[in-house]
Amino acid sequence: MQKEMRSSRSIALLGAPNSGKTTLFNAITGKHAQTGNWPGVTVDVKFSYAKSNSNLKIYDLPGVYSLHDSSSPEEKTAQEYLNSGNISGVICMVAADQPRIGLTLAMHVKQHGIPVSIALIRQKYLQKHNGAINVELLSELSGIPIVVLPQSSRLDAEDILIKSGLPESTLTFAGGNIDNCPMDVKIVNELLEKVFTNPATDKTTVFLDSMLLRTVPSILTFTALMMFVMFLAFGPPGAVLTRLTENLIFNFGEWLAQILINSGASQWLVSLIQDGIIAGVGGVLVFVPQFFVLFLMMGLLEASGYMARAAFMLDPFMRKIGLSGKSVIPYILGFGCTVPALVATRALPRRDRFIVLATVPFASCGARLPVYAAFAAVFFPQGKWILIPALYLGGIAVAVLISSIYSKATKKKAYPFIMELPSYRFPATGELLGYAGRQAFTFIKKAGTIIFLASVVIWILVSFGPSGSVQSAGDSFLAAIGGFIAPLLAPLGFGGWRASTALITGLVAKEAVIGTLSILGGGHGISSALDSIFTARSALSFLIFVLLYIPCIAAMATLWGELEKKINMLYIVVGQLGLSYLLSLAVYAASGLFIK
Amino acid sequence: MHQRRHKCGRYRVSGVPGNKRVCRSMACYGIRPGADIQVHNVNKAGVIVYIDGTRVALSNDVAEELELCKKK
Repeated sequence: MQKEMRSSRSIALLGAPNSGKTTLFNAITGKHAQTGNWPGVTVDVKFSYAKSNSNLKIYDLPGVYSLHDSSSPEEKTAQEYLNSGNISGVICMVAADQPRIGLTLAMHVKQHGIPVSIALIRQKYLQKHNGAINVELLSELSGIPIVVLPQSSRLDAEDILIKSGLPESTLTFAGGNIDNCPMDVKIVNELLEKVFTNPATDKTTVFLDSMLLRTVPSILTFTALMMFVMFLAFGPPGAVLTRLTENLIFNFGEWLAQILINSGASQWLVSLIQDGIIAGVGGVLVFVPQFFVLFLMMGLLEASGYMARAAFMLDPFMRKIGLSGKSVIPYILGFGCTVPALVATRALPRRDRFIVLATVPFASCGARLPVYAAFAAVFFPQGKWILIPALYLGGIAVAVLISSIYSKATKKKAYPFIMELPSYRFPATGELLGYAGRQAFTFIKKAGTIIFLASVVIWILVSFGPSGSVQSAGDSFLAAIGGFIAPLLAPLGFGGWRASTALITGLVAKEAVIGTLSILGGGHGISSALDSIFTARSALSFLIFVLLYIPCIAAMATLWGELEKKINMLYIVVGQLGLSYLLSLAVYAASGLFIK
Repeated sequence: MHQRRHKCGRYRVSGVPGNKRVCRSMACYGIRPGADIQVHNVNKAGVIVYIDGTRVALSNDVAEELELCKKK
């Protein structure tokens, strides 16, 4: 079984979907990979080094229910890693209230010859529901060390690694194909009969499901929840927070500029900092509170176990457009960031994958939110919390329409739907705040790096022209670049060079659209900048274009990597650009009937 | 869908790998031969079952493959 010596030790985390692997991975490595109380969050293999030991490599394998078969992408990936000979040991997640799947996996790995230990979770839940598991006896009979994990927020990674009993050596093991030595389930059944008492049915989950898993109540609940989330994020509560942040950033910019002037700094430096960096980065940062509120609520829905129900109830609808309910997951992830949403399509059947890859960018990512929020606040202040959800729904409607046409054209039927329904739970406040905080931090980090650089570059391009330093932005390099494509966009109502330049910088990161417009508007705040560049009608058309045109470079690179046939990238890019152009044109023409 | 009625109860799955189609769709999710499957609830979206104690949602076509439900 022993294959070769390695310089570093590698431990893989294995378990069923939604069994807490990623939470343990984050605790051991100090990383912030996404977790959720629904199956399918981890579809690829993540790895990192333990924060306490830089020679210890931790692999987070995708969730699997068995290692018998390789027809699902997750099982195939897990099998490949376990067969690769790069693993020194495995920590297998076992849920105390449903130990059969995890225990079967652990016994299977042990039978294969790889050292394994069990991380037992949900023991408190089991005890609360009058169930019992004899941990010592189970460890003795199975011959596998067991570590009982406390609640996720209080994981002591070092303690877990020591108690796991996995060998300290860097030896790696592989005993041929793990799928060729099926586990005898009778052994597991006999073990469980001796050590396990089933918990009572979770009455709360059964009661909530009896209410929520009915057609009409489920649709009403889903709609109400989404509207409530949008109201909190973009309605009065979110707007108040945004206004406070905007004032704070504006006052900070004024204060900093005054200090620079008083200390005798040159005019160009003051302009770079105030009109370039503060206007560009600050224009994006003002939306951090709204972003935080949105992800706090989305995190609550994900961690509560509701999302798996939403996928199940949306399955009949998804079938009508030729997709399975599981396809809902990438779209929901897409509301956060397109990149993980594209990666999440790996869990889908091959025939669904292409069309979901092509349409996931239409699910508005968080980076587009500042654009919607800024335009809505300036041009549609009364109806902004209706307009923003309408844009989100509009993106989904386009995705649905395209999927429907594609499935009809290819005459394909939807894939069967099977999904575990986790018990409902109210996540810990720290867990929720941590989730929203990490999302907001990513946003702030991007503002401090990509948007910062983009702001400096834009300021240089707008301050200089072919004849050197320019007084009017219209004579700048940026005006020349934007002016090149501006005539193409003129029929859409925003044919000026500033709007077209913002769309170009939006390819770096969508938040840069607002940063760019803020700088090009003269650095007097995003509101006055938008007011000077757009009308209400052209703003609406611009929003549709931003909603549908191609995603940022990071998402494009991911899409390229995920597509089997690279030529499809061309079709997707041309399709998205063409669609965004035509729909913006249609909206601009139609809005002329209602808006001046 | 509106006219569909389901007849459900407690079933025990056996010989699953013998049926290639059923095996493929189920093995992906680890439903082992001989798994204890108990139907809990039926609605328009599909069937909610307990498979070896795990609460699982199945679409109607999967439930029919498992012979948990029949169209009338």
